[in-house]
Amino acid sequence: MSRTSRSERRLAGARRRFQPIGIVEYILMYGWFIFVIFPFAWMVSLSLRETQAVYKNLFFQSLQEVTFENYLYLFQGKFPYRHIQVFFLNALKNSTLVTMSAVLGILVVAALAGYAFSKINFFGRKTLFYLILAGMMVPVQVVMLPLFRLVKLFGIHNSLLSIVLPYIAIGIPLSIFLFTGFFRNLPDALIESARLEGASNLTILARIVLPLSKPVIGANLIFQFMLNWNEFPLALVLLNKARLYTLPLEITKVQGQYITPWNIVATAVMAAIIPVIVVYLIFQRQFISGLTAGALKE
Amino acid sequence: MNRRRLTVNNRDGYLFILPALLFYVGFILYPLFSVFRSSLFRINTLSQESTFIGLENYLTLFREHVFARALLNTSLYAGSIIVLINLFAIIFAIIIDRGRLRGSYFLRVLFFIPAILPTVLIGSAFKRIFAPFGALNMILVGLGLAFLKRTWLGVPSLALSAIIITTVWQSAGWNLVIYFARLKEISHELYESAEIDGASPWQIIRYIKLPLLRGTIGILVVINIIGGFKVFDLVYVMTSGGPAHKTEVLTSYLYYQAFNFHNYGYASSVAVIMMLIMLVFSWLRLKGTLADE
Repeated sequence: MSRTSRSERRLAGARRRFQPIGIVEYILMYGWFIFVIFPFAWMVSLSLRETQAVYKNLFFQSLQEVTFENYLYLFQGKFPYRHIQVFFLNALKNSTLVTMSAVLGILVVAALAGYAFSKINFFGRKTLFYLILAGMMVPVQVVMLPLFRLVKLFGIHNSLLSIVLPYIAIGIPLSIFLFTGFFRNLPDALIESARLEGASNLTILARIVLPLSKPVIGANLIFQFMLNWNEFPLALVLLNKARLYTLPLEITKVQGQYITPWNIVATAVMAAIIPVIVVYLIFQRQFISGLTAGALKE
Repeated sequence: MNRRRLTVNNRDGYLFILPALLFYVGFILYPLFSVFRSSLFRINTLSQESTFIGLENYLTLFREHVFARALLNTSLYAGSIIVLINLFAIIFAIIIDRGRLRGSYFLRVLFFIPAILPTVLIGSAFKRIFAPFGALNMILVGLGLAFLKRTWLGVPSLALSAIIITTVWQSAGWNLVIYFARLKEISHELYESAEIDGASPWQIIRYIKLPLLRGTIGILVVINIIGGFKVFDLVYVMTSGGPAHKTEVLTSYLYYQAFNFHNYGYASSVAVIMMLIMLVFSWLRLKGTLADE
């Protein structure tokens, strides 16, 4: 299939779409498109209906069925149905606090360590680096039992700190790895000349290294934000007070077996994920590169 | 001069890694040591009992058929998701890379969305899709296939498959993005010259693209195996390990033993076994990562 001119190529492109392989491509991709989009569409339609209307039909029968009252109830915290309570705003506040503190903690601690591992010469540097790197192998599910006891021992089991500190610990190995890798590629001469002028390491890190490291800071920020915002098992084990629940935990706890009406579950789920999707759509490039960079190194 | 600078740096080096080290020792290393120690005790969190019993927990473990079930289910789950996720992701990446499909950028961005959402909430949604009066059964009835209606999460032979499908729904997209990024690194002139030489699309895929993806496939298979062995959220929210332990996985078994049955020591021995399994896979992973560096 040789090509000669642009117009001919476009023509060939149009013809090609009707080839069997082209049709198979369309069916596969748009089939998956429907598969991916369907749960969202269904959940949205559940969240916009009254309880009785939910179990009768898959989607709306008419626009008259559409109601926004579930979202109103959600933000008021109380549904007029079996006195079901969802402390959505409280959970949103907890999730925001936990995620922001954890991510900030991870970035500061990991940037310091990453700088030391890449730009400071000290005894045992390599050994300590690999020791911390090995932390990436430890799944939270393995350490969640002792962590449950540890936060009690520290007397922080009744505060959000009980989850922020473990989140920082779990997040730092990967972030140190990403920071160290990036800092290593910054020229040593830059740091050496600043040292000769008498700048301390902290000054060099803050004034010279970090301003040059926006890509790796961004990747870390996005990756750690998503990881902590979505985290569930540790929250389930460590947060025993309903007022401390994070968003994923609050919404999971609200739904009993099949008892909680689906429109309520759907409303809570959609309210929790729509903002994330909007932010993602705005910063898609950064999200995709940040998350895949993190996933590949994990 | 030189010597002095080195000592100063030495001190700074330790100071700079100290916070990381404290977090690491306190919240990862110590718990690891502690879970190993607890696995040698009979610890009941309800009766406050704590007796040293050596390896008895491990002996119980290997006799317990629910543990064997959990191990088998976890392996089945991990094995199924790596095949399905990678299969779909590679097919989609190749289709997008061929560039003859309209709206492929939009599709790529959209397929990635499930990866950014909390897995438990995805589980909440799919639990309703698979419920007796849920979306799947409604669709089947609508298509005139009412005889296919099932209580998908309530039938022992189907429940694990439902969880596998949910995972594939969530993960195929980000795997696709990684495969696509790899394919994009390859110059399209290579394909064009192959085309001119008379190679069919299938031959280009079979002899050029797939061999080029081999390294990426290796990495993603290991990443997905590790993720598969850590599965917890979906099982917890969709089936709680049931029916009849047919979706019990290592993490759920560990969790319920510790927090529903208060067998803290026994649960710790499950955690130790899990850690050993993770060590094997993570070692493969780390070797790959370090080779990249």
